[in-house]
This record gives sequence, structure tokens and C-alpha cells, in this order.
Amino acid sequence: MSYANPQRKSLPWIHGWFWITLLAFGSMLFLALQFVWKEVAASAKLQSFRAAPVVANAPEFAALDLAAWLNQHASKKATQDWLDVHLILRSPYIHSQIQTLLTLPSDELPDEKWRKEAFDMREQGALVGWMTQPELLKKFIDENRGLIDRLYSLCEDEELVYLPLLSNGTRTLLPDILDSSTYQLIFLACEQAIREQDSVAVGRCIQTLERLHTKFHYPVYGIARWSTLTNMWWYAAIHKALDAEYIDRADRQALLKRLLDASDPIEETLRTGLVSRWQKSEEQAEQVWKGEKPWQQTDFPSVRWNKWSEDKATWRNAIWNEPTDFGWAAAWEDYRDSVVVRLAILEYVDRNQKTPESLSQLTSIGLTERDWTTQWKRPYTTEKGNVPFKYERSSNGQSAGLYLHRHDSLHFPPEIPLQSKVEFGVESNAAKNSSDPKP
Amino acid sequence: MNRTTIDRALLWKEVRQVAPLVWTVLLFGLAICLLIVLAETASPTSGKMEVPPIPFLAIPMIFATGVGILLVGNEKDQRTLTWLRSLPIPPGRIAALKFLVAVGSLGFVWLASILLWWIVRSAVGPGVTETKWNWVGEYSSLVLIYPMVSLFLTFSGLAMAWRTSSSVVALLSLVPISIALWLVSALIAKVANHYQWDLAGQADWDLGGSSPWIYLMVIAAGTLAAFAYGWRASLLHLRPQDGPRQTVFRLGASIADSAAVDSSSLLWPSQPRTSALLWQSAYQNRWIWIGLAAILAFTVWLTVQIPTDFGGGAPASDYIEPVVQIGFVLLLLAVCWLGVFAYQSDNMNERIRFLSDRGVSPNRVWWTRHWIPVLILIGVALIRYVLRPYHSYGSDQLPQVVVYDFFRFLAIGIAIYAASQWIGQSLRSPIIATVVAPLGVLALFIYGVFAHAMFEAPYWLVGSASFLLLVATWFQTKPWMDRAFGWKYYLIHGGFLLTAMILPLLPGIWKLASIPRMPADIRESLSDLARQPLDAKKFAWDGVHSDFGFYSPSQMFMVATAFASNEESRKQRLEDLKSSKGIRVYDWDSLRRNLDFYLSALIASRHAIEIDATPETQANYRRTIEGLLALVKTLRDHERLLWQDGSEVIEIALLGECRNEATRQSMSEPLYRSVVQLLSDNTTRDMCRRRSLARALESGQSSQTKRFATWLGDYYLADNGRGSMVSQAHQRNLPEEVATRLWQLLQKDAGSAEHERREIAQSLQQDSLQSDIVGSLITIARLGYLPGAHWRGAWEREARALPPFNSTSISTNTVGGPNQ
Repeated sequence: MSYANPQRKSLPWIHGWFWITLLAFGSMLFLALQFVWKEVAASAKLQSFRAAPVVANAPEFAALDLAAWLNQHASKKATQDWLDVHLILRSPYIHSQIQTLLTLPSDELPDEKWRKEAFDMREQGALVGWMTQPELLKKFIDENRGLIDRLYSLCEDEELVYLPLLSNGTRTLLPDILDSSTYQLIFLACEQAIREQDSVAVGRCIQTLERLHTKFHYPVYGIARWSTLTNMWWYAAIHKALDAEYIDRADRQALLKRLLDASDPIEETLRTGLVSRWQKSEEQAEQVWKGEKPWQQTDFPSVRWNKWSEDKATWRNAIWNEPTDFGWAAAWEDYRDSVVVRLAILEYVDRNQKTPESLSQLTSIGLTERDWTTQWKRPYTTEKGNVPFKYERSSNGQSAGLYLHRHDSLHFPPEIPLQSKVEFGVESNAAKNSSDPKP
Repeated sequence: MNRTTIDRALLWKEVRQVAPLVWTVLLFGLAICLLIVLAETASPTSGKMEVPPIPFLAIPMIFATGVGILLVGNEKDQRTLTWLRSLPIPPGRIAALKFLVAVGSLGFVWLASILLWWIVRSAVGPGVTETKWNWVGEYSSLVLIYPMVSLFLTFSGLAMAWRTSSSVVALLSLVPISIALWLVSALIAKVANHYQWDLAGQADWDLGGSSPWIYLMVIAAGTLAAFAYGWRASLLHLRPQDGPRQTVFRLGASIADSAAVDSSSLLWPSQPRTSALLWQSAYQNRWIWIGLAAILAFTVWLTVQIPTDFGGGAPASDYIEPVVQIGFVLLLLAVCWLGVFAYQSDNMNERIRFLSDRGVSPNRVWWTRHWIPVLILIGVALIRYVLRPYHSYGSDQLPQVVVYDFFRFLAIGIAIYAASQWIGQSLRSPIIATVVAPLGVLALFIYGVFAHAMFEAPYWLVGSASFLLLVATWFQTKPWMDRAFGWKYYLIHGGFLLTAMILPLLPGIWKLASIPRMPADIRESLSDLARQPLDAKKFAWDGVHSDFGFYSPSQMFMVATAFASNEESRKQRLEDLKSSKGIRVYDWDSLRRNLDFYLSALIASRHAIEIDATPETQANYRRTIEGLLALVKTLRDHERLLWQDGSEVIEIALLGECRNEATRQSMSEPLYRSVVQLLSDNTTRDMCRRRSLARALESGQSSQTKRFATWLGDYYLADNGRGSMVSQAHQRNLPEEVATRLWQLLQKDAGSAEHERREIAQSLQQDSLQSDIVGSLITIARLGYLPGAHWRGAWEREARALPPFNSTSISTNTVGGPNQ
């Protein structure tokens, strides 16, 4: 026992607390530094992506400023004419008359029941207003002949049309020139031309419907949707013209080539949608930075980068694996493929003087399996599968039948009924080729 | 003193002991009432608010938790137990009085609580009598359960306070006892279900795994047991006890033993002050800290799965389990008590005086009290950090988000700790502090939500404000050690609390103060204009025909009828236009459709000339323009902002016709001059604009729907956004703000106010392309959602520069934009 050396010495356990404290605060410091470092790195990644988007893989990024893109790529030659034509089409009178002619015998809400009924009616026969009231159709088309001719002349070239708009990021509004009345009017004009046996007018209608898509083919999300819709009316018009045998072989070949070469609006929609999501995320970050929006956990640069990477992966996956998850995409694909397969069979018959044994023989025309088969999935269900077109061939190979509806897609526009089955015959085809189209 | 006098004196003593707790919980109840009334007053949606009974049920429950312990614990802490034992009063009487005061005060708090609920419901809700809660029917078991639970807590507290040396330990022991009781009832219910015993109501209603009737029976049994145990313990501890057994002959030995102990302590090596203080703090709190750390670790594990975003796709059913809810409550309680015991363990038996008397530095005392609790919080946050990646979903799982979650959890934990340690230092009684701390923290949390929701206080500021309470206790440690609990002590603590509460409100107050006001001269001018009477004759309609409307038929046989009806409507409208009768519109959409129709007719008549310029087509074109000229004047006469904007759309369309050299010739010179005169007359147009603006502002102010949305005349400006007071004040001011900007816009020249126009559009989030001249293009957009959309547009300048009738040049070089 010593009193001589009253050495100041901490209790042994205090060292334990010291080390625990050091460890706790050290861990916190480490986490904080690591956090900041990773956020700075993610921010740099976003910055570099923003500065130089992968234009090679996603040209849509070039159109983030749509007004600037239009200034560079579109022609202003006919813009005022387009604006004027649209002003006429905006008339509630024209709009209502078109809708009257497209009337179906039901005014229920567009629910499943309604769509099913419309589908059944299509099978039974034509009940849409423009088919049951041909004299009204004629009257309306005659009355608007000047307007229709103006649309024909505006669609004589393939130049992109400049439209004035204000660039406002994802909120950039496209002028409402892209209205359904435009393509519906031309489709009705096509139908009237078929009735009047005016093959020239039919050809102009088909060309105009095609150009309505190409002349406003901007790389933005909304336009891709417009393309899908105009395409469906275009395909319907082609079917009608083929039914009436108003398209000669040369035009059929040209059409088939254009259809096979055309970009896929579903993929475009997905791609432009992805860009739109990126743009939205950027705008949100800017709003947070300006204090216009409360900050959220998802606004961390690292989370945004991660989300963007995930989006890329999932959307690419959606493009290649499950394109028909989108209801309207199923309808579009049905229509597009039905036209392509029909044109290809006709071409096959012309070349070989016999109908193909199976649709797989259409590969010789340039089709792939994807053109007559679709990966189909019923919306909101797990039901899915590969569905080819139903094709029947006579035993001697001289005739065949193609069912145009691959499955009971509920997204067909019922206002444009098509026959459910088209017939092909070697003799009739040969005879057809030897003569000019009907006057 | 006779027996009655003694009883009265004892009763008074007991009442005084429980009074602080009564006032505290009732104060809490009043705070709840105040918040409910505030929330109802500030809410943008008026109406009868359903006031939930739960907060008012919680008041007696909280009181019950503390009252039994307080009645006994105070005797122990203030060392009056020996005095009580020495009184010539039977122990049974003292015990009976304590039980009587406990039950009586509990009943009083129950009554007060129900009364408060009744008052609040009558004030802001449908009233108790109109309530949808059918207490006697559907929730009859609850009506019995809550009072029974409160009685159980009271008796258990009393019993545990006798059996434990520390009243705080008695208080904490109520947590496992209550959980044990609940587990027993759940177990009985499970067994009953297993054997399919018919126990009343077991299948009706689930109370965390137990049926209400089983729970009620278990609670009743527990209450009886607690009462019996408490009564026995009271008699045992209150009976007269023997004096010290040591005799005078043993006294010397005792002193010698004490000296030996003292001398051995003197032989210890001297300690650094920090080390000693930390040891003292750790030693006296060790069991409390170990217990709380264990509860924290357990509850962190329980609650770690709860996603940040409940809509994030995680399976929600996993988190709504009662166990997780209990976990949350325990987590909050544990952090609160961690804060409370930072000071209360030194309050017990006035231990802090020992340090105070020896001149120990208050700063050193302050941080040695917080050292280990803060370390516990960091440790718990680290446990969450480790567990989180394995128990979260979606973006919550990302490493960076997990780190962020760690810091957020720690910040919230420290904020709660800061508030509760402040309560711990502010209140002298450990029991009251322990009971009040969770309530205080809850009240501050609700206040934080209020500050965020109503004053748009950012979260970080709400959290940071609570750190002021840590500064408060640091500042007040010296008077606390000196036990200087005077008015100055409480005033300073109150000052810190007030500062912490006001701080988050400052940004919102600043925003409220900086809302732009309408200048007095503009207000006066607009009021003068609004007071001028409208000439109703100007827009009297003498035409007779059906409403302007096209429709699609619902039946096939009506296709032809509808087709013909549409043609007839078109014919009537065209006749109206060409005879300059004007326009009949009755709502926003009708005006828009009419304008679309007439502008379509204008372009179509021009196209007809371009195709075939016959006298007939030219006359038709002229009549259409004449009709539109008349229409502009009619629309202006209505003095409605939307109508005025509609007239300007027609003017822009007419400007397009005047610029078109080819069709200008078809117009004829007098008509062209009339159109040019109309278009270049800015003075008349501006006067009409100002009048329509004044009327719009006046009608917006008298709108009955302004509480939900903001209107300027026929224009819907915005909804009430976040619903905060700041947002609502801004929305209420929005019509005046927009009117001021529009008024000021009219003081500028056409073409030089593009920036201001864009600002107005952006402030209303209506920045789409409007009708105007863009480059050399005439754009006619649909009549939109932006008031004054065409004011001081490029078209006005272009209209003034229109050439004479015979000129062949059109000036377009003054307008910027894309080149043709």
C-alpha cells in the first residue's frame, strides 16, 4: 500500500469506452465520407451523361430541345398551310360529322363488354355509320373535297413539317394539329373513292395516310403514339384497297418494302419514353435545386443514376421480350402484320404461281417469323403465348385463306371493320396481274 | 387531533402529491384540443371533422401509469416514509387513503378527459351524440377494457413502488408486466381457439391476437391480484418497525469498520475528473442503460423492415402487425427515457448536490451525462444500418440510401433524445419526468408536423431546432446542479423552448410577409372600373334557335338525324355570323367551340376563293369577315376576361387575313380599312381589357369556391396546393397578383414585354404556345387557360404596321423567331 505515488490513472474500463467512442465516431465519419464521395461520383456520371448523351445508341436525346431540333430538321415551307388546314379541321361541325359517320351501335363506356360487342359485330358484318349510310358519307366527302385535296397536296412530299412550339422539357406541348379528325377524314375519303371506283383517289388516300405519319415523325414520345394510330388507319385503308383489288403488283411490292423497312413505332415509343423519363428526372432535380419541390430520398444523384440504369435495362427488356404488354401495341402489331403477310402471300403467289404451303415459306419474300407470329399477353393477366396467323391452304395449293385477326385483341378500332378472312387464288391472282387495276 | 382531522390532513397530503401529475396530463389534453382546433381551422376543406377518441383515452392511461408510483415513490424519494411509520395511525388507514386518492384522482382524470373530448367534438366535429362510434354496441368491450387497464396500471404501480427501492425502476417494470398480461391473454385465446372453446366474443374482434373478452377477464384478474399484492405490501411497509439493533457497545466497532472502509477508499489512486464523472454516471445508470439499450436493439430489429415509402411495393401486411406497432411505441419510449435519465438519476435523492458542493465543472457534468446515451444511440443506428439492406425493398435497399437512412435515424433519435433530456432537466420529479417525457416529445413531434404542414418548414430545420434544447441544458447545468429552481431557471428553459419552436416557422413567416401586394393605385383603378354599370342591352340576344351543340347519336337509326341536325346547326351559325347577329355563348366550352367554328369558317371561305375566286365566294368571304368584326365588338361588350381573350383570337385571325396579299384584294377596301382600324386601335382594346380584368377580379373575390380553388373571372388559376397556410395565403392572393402583373403589362409596348408575358405564363404553369405571330407564322391556338394570353403579343405591333390596301409588301421583319 503506497501513499507516495498518487499517480493519476483512469479506471481501466474507461479505456474501453474511449475505444468504443472512437470506433462509433470513426464509423460515422467513414460512412459520411463514403456517402459524400459516392454522391459526388454519381453526380459526375450524371453530369457527363448530360453533357454527352449516347447519341449513337439513342438519337432521341438529340431532340431533348424539340424546338431546336425542328428548326434544324423540319421544313417551314408548308407550315402555315398545315396550320390553316388544321384550323378548318378543328371545327366542331367537321369533328361531329366524322364521329357521326364512325358511330357504332352502342354508346356504352368503352369497357370490356362494349369492346367484345364491337368485336362480335365486326364478325357479323358492317354496322358502322359510314357503311350503313353511304349517301351521308358521299355528301360529307363531296362537301369537303377542297379540304381533302389540300391534304393530298400537302402530303405529296415526305419532308418533315416544322411546327411552332415552345420548348418546355417534358411539358413541351405539341400543337393539336395531330388530331384524329385528320386521318379519319382521309380514311373516309378512301372508302368513298373505293365506292366510286376511283383508283387514283384510293392511291392518293393511301399515300396521304402514310405521309401523315412520316411528315410529323418527330423523335418524341407523343409522336410515336400518333404514328401508331395513323398507321392503323393506313393499314385498314390498304386492306380495303386490296379487297377491292385496286393496288397493282408494283405498288404492292413498293408498299411491302416500305412496310418491312419502316421503323417500329412500339420500339420508338419505348425509346422516346425512356428519354422522356430521363428528362423528367432531370427536371425534378432542377426543381429541387431551385427549392420549388421538396427534396426526396429519390433525388440523390446515386439513386437517380441507379434508377436510370434500371430503366434502361427494364425498358430494353420490354422492347425485345414483351412488346405486347402494351395493349395498343398488340392491336398495332396485328394490323401491321396482317397487311405485311397478306402482301407477302400475294407476292409469293405471283412469283411461284402457287400459294405457300405454310407461312414460314414467306421468308423467301423477306419476312421473318416475327412478322406472322406475335408474343401476345392479355393485359392485366398472366395469360400469354406465341400466336401465329391462322392460314389454311387447299390440298392442290391453288387457293388459301388467311385469317386477319391473330387473337381477339380488344384494342382494334371497331370503327374500321375488316373482313375476318381473305382468300387467295392462283388463277384470280394471275388474271389480276395481267390486267390493269379497275378504273 | 381527532381521527377525522388526521384523515383530512393525510388526504390533503396525498392529493398534493398527485396534483402535479393531474395538471400535467390535463395540460397535455388541452394541448391536443388546441392542435385539433388549429388543424380544423387551418384546413382548406371545411366541414365536420371526426375527432378520434384515442388521444383522450390516452390521457387517463398515462395518468394511471404514474399515479400509483407517485403516491409511494414520493414518500421514498423525500424520505417521509419513516415519518409516516412513526405516526400513531394504523397502517391500513394510510394505505386505504392512498388507494382512495389513486382511484379518486383516476376517476377525476377520466371525467375531465371525456369532457374535453365532448367539448372538442362539439366545437369542430359532429358532436358526441351524433357520433358514428357505437360505444355501447360494437365497441362495448373497449368501453370496459380501457377503464380496467387504467385501474390495473394504478394498482400495479402502487404495488411495484412498494416492492422496489427506486420509483423509476417501478415505473419501468410496468412495461414488462403489461406485456406479460397481454401475452397471457393471447395465449389463453390461442388455447381456446385450438380447443374450440366457446369464449364470448373471441371470434368477433381481434386485439393483437387476443379476443377482447378474454383480455378483459385477464386484466380484471390482474387488477385484483395487483390490488391484493399492493395492499399487503402497503401494510408491510407502513407498519411500525424496530429501531437500529446496534447497541452502544457495538458503536465503537461500527465506527472502526467505517473508518476501515474509508481509509481503503483513500488508498485508491486518484482519478482524472472526466474519468470519475463518467464512471459515476455509468455506475448509477448501468441497469437502466443496459435495459434501455436492450429494448432499443430489439425494437430496431422489429421495425427495421418498415419501408420509407409505404407505397413502394413492399408487402404492407408484414408491418401492420400489432407487434411492430408495439415495437414503435417501445422504441420511442426507450429513447425518451434515455434522455430523461441523463439528469433524473442525479435528481434522485439529490445526488447532484454532491458534485455541486465540490465545485465540479458544469460543462464536464453536462457532457459526461450525455456521453454514453449518445453512444447507445449511435450503436443502435449502426445495428439498423447493418440490418437494413437485408430487410428492405426497392430503392430502400441501395447502399447509399441505407447510409442516408442511418444518418436520418440517428438525427431523429438525437432530436427525440434532446427533447426528452430537456424535459428531464426541467422537471424535478423523476416520476413525472418519466411519464411526461414521451408526451412532451409527442407534442413537440405534432408541433413539428404542424410547422411542416402549415408553415412549410423544412424537415432539417424542424430537426435542427430540437438541438437548441441540448444547448438549453448545457446552459442551465450550473443552476440545475445548484438546485436553483427559481423563476429565472424556468424562464430561461422556456425561452429556449420558445426559440426552438419559433425557429422552424421563420421561413414560412418570411414567405407570408413577402407575398406581393397589389399597389394601391392599381387597386383603386380596378375598383373604379368594376363599379361602372354594365349596359345589358349591348349583348341582348334576339336570335331564336337551339343551343350551339353537335352530338353523336347513340342509336344507329339516329345517324341520319344527327347528321342533319349538325348541318342545320352549322347553317344557323353561319347565318348568325353573316347577319352580324353576334354570338350566343353560355359557358367556357361553348365559347371555345363557337370560336373554333367561326375561325374554321373564315379559313374555309378563304380557301374557297383560292380554289375558285368567283363573286359568290368573295362575297361569302367578306360577309364572314364582317360577321367576325361584329363578333369582336360583341365579345368585348361582355366585359368578361375570357370573352375579351376570345375576341383577341379573332383579331389575330383577321390579322392573318390582312397580311395575305392574295385574299386582301377580295376583302374590298372599305372592309379592309374597318379591319385595320379595329386591329390598330390599341386604346379601345386596352380599355376593354382593363374593364374585363376589373370585373374578373371582382367576381373571383366573391366566388364561393375560393376556399378550394382560385379563380380570376372564368379562369381557374390554381388549387390550394399543399394546403399549408403559406400556400393558402399565396393562392388567395394569386388573382390580385396576376391582375397586377396584367395591369402592369398593359403599360408596356407590344413586342417588348415578352419576358413579362412568359413570366406570367410560367407562374400559372400555362406556358404553351398561344395565339400570336411566331416568326412569320400566324398561330391560332385554342382559347386556353391563361388569362390575358394575347396581351402585348407580337401581333399587336404587327397590327399597327399593316400596310394600306393597295400596298404589296407586308412587314414581317419586326418579329423575331424562326426564319421562313
